[in-house]
Order: sequence, then structure tokens, then C-alpha cells
Amino acid sequence: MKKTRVCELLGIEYPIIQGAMGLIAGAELAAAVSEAGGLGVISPNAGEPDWKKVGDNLRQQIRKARSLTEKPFGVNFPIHMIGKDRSLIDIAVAEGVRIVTTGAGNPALHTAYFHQQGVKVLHLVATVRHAVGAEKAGVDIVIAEGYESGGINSPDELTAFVLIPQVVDAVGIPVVAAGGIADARGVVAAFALGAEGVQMGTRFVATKECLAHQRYKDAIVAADDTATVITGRGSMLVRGLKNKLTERVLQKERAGGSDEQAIAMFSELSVAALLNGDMENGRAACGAGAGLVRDIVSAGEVVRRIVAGYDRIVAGL
Amino acid sequence: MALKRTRVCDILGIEYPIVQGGMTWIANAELAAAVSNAGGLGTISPNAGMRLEDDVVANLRGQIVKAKSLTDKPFAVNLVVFIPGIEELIDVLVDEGVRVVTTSAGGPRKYTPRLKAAGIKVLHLVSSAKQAMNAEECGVDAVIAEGFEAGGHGGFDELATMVLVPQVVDAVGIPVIASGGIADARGVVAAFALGAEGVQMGTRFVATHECIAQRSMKDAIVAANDTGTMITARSLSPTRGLKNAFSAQVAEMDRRGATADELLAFIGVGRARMALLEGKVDEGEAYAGAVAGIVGDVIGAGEVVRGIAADYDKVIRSL
Repeated sequence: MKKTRVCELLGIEYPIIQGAMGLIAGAELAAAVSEAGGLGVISPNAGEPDWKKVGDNLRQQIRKARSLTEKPFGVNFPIHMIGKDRSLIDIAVAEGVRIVTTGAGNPALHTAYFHQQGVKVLHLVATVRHAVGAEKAGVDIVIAEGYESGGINSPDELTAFVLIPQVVDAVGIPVVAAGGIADARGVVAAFALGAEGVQMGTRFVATKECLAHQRYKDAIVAADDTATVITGRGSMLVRGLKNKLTERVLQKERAGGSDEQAIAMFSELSVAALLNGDMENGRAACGAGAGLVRDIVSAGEVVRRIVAGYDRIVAGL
Repeated sequence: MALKRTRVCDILGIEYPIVQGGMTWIANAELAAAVSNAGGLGTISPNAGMRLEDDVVANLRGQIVKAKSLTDKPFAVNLVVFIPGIEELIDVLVDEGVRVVTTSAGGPRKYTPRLKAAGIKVLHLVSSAKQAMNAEECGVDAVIAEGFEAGGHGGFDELATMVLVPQVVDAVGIPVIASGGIADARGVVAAFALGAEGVQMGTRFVATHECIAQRSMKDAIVAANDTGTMITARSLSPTRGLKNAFSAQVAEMDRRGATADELLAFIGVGRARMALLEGKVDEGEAYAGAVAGIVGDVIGAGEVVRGIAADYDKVIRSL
């Protein structure tokens, strides 16, 4: 598999990044991905629904990951969740984290601070304008996330095929592609479009090491090509598995309204699906590539399959 | 010039597996012939260039005759299956010896046997794995897997090319042609990596000298950036076009939950023709794919094909 600037910047063997899925991207998963040569990323609230306890949780997760691997791993900071408060950031830095992914907010807020601490910053973008802004703010890498991705989504709805090449053309820093990628075919496709790395979320949920509830993993494996849907157009777009909840929300949205309860209870509904396995009434964030995920394997196996498949696919082109 | 030869080339008798989409109103004989002459497969839309009141059957015959005068190579005709009078259109293309037909917006069961019996190759447009399996069972020669990125009317499931193509490839044994979001060699190599054996492009071919679309429409595509298109009328038929005054009005109706009937009444007849052929880009449905931001110039259709063939190797060497 091709070595890119992403490998050099992050000190990793393969430019394969595990997305930091809220609530379920814990130390075991991140360490397994990093051990296999990719970059694992911890979500501060992994396994901990109570945001008031997130600081201690993050510290424990980092220490646990450190006990499992000596290779680099990252931590994700959703900027809209932390705002200007740097207490979580300081915990990660004090624990020796040197790579962070940021998103859902202004990259100018913390990037300079990260750099002062010797931390590399990967920032999530969904349009060319945001990518250019992130480069100006000094981030090291942009993660260009397409409409295919699970969870919170951009209202601009740009898919991987059109977003990646336009971001690549617009910035000089490396571009990591995200959204709709679950196997080596998608990785080669993303590289053909100019990406120098990939980030995958849904594929890594269906792994042995992920904290997700077994029923959530099974639902991803069972999903076909039409199993996910976008809700929240007009408020906050979210892609997830179709279920009773999304059907109820969509009914209201089709009539020109919105489901206030689903919006107000966003966190609780996510906990219900991701950690407690309520696949009918919970909010099960999931990418449109779920139909490509057909088994629950170890996270290291995901990385190894892609590395092995990459050269075979390139040779067939 | 080493664009990979695939089963699509063999089935259609073409050099490069690059298909020009049969864009309604504007996929004309000159465009189709230019694409076919360059080694791809050009496609004619039966209503290319005609007025609303003209006879589509006579128009199609005129377009086919013209294309035959411009090229000896195979070209296709696109049939929108749900429109009335399709039997007469099939009579014409059988009579004129058209070798390839692309079908869309309707089931493949009804017309595929007749087209196949006439020795015509059938490419059917699908937007999910289930539709692809159905098309294969109906005997089509290849499926065109069209992603959410495509301009004009799309599928309700909104599957983007990145996720649609590999799942269709896994579901059928016949060749898969990728469509939606492709405008240059990078997109073509990406589609091939996903398992496609050909590509279909629409928006890239609108911005060519040979396309009959009004200059203002071509210029609007060239001017578009990454966020230049949007989907409207999701409850009626999800439609992708350039953002303009008209799409803003439809989007407002979408937001307040307008019914399919209300949308149909507002959009009316000939809206796409206004934007594509009458130069009223702002008042019409300006069909364009999400890839419009990648299209940066108006060039010859043959140059589009040759450029991709030339750049294909360069992209592969970068992998």
C-alpha cells in the first residue's frame, strides 16, 4: 500500500484512520488499529454517557490505550462540545497524546494551541470552503467527509466522489477521505481521487474490539445498500440505520415539521442504540457503506485486509 | 492511451468504455457522433433540440439519420421507459439499425425482450442493488449504476457512487457502468477501483462544443463550484440541478412539506427545456450533476474522451 505524507506526518505505517465514533471509540479499538499500522482514535466519552465524567474517562482511555500499544494514536475533540474550554485538551496533552482530530466547529479556535504543545491536528471538513479555511487556520491534514458518512452530516450533501477531488485541488496539505469507504476498493477509489489516506467509522464499529453493543454490530452486518437514511434536514442532518425512530421523525419532516423530542434527546437516543442495543427506538448512527460490511472481525484484520487488497486492486486497473 | 479494455468495450464494439449520457433535450446527434468517433459511446435523446409541440418520433428519426451521417461507429438511443408512445420510438430505432439502447425511469421487463430480439444491446439504469438484480434477470447486457451525484431525476434511495457501485458489482454478473459524480480520469479510475467496467458521464458532456445546450447553460456549469447543485422535489422525484431562482422556490415548497401534486403543478411542463435549450437558466430546471464544480471548461466532446484515455495511466501510476 502506498506511503503518503499522512504516514510521515503521523508516524504510522498505513494511512488508514479509525474514525472516533462518539460513545464507542474506546481504547481497545484505537490500540488495535494502531498496532496494525493504522491510526486509532479515542472518543473522550467512549463507554461513558455522562459528559460530566468525560475528563476522567478520557484520562483512563488514554492510559489503557497506552498500555496496549506503543504506537501513536489520536483523540477526537468535537469543537461544538468543548467550546473554548481547554481542560479536556490539557488532559490529552498531559497524557502524551500528539495527534488529535477535530470537527464540528471553527479550527482556528485551538489549532495554534495544539501546535504549541507539539500536537498534529486533523480537521474534518465537508466543503471546499471549509477545507481552505482549515488550511489557513494551520491544520496539518483535512479529513474530507462525504454525505455517505454516518452520524452528523453537512447540509451541503457533497459525496466522496465530488468532494475529495475538489478539496484536493483547493488545498496543499494532505487530504484524508471519509464517508462510504469500508474495503480496499473504496480505499483505492479515494486515492485515485487524490486522497492520501482514509478514515473509516462504520467498518470499525463491526469489530471485536469496539465497545458498541452486539445488536448494533449485528445490525450493521445485516444492513443492505438501502438500510440507512438521513433525518434532520432543516435542523441537523444525521445518517443512521432505518428503524421506528427514523420512520417517526421522517413522517413529521415530510409534512414540513420536525421531531422536537428526537432533537432534544439526541444523546439519550444514541446511548440507547449504541451502548444498550435498542435498535428499534434508538438513534443508530451508521454510514451508507454499511451494506459493504459483512462480518465482525478484529480491527487489525480490517487494516490487514485493506493493505492486502490495495495492491491487488491497483494491479487490476 | 491505455484506458483499460473491459467487457463493456466488447459488448458494445467500442474502444473506450466511456458512455455519454442521453440527457433529455440536449443529447443531440452531433454530440453523440463526436463521442463515438473518439472511441466512446455517444447517446441520443429522442427529444434532442425539439420544440414542446414537435413530434418526438420524427425528431428521433432525424437525429439518428444525422448521427449516421457523422459516424460509422456505434451510438445509442436513450429511452425513458415511462413516457407514452415508446413502442413507436422502438419501431424507429429498430428500423434505423441502432445497435445500443439505454433504458431508464421504468422497469426493464417490458421492453428488453423486444430490443434483444432485434439484436440491440440494452444498458439499463439502476440506483440500487435490488434494481440491478432485477435488470440482470430481465436479460439486459449491462447495468448503469447511477449514484446520488447525478444530474436530473435520481433514485429515492440516494445511494452515492462510492457505495452503490461496489454493491451492484457484488450483486450481478453482468458488467456495471458507473455514473454520477464522474468528470475526469480521477473519477474514472476511482469507479474502476470499485469494480465498474465503464463510466457514463452527463454533465461533463453538456459543457462541450457539440452539445446543443444553450451557451448560458454550459457557462453556468463551468461557473459552478462544489456547492453549486442541490436536490429538490424529494417527495415527487428527487431532482438535481444548479442552484438558481427556480430551485430556491421549489426548495421552499419542500421545506413546508408541499405534496407531490402541488410540486407537479408548480414545476409544470417544459421547465428543464427552459434552462437547457431556451437560455433561461435561472427560471428553469437546470439539470446538472454534483460534479459540475469539477467541470472547468467548454471543450470538444472528443477531447473529453481522449483526455480521460490519456490521463488514466497517469492516475494509476500515482496509486
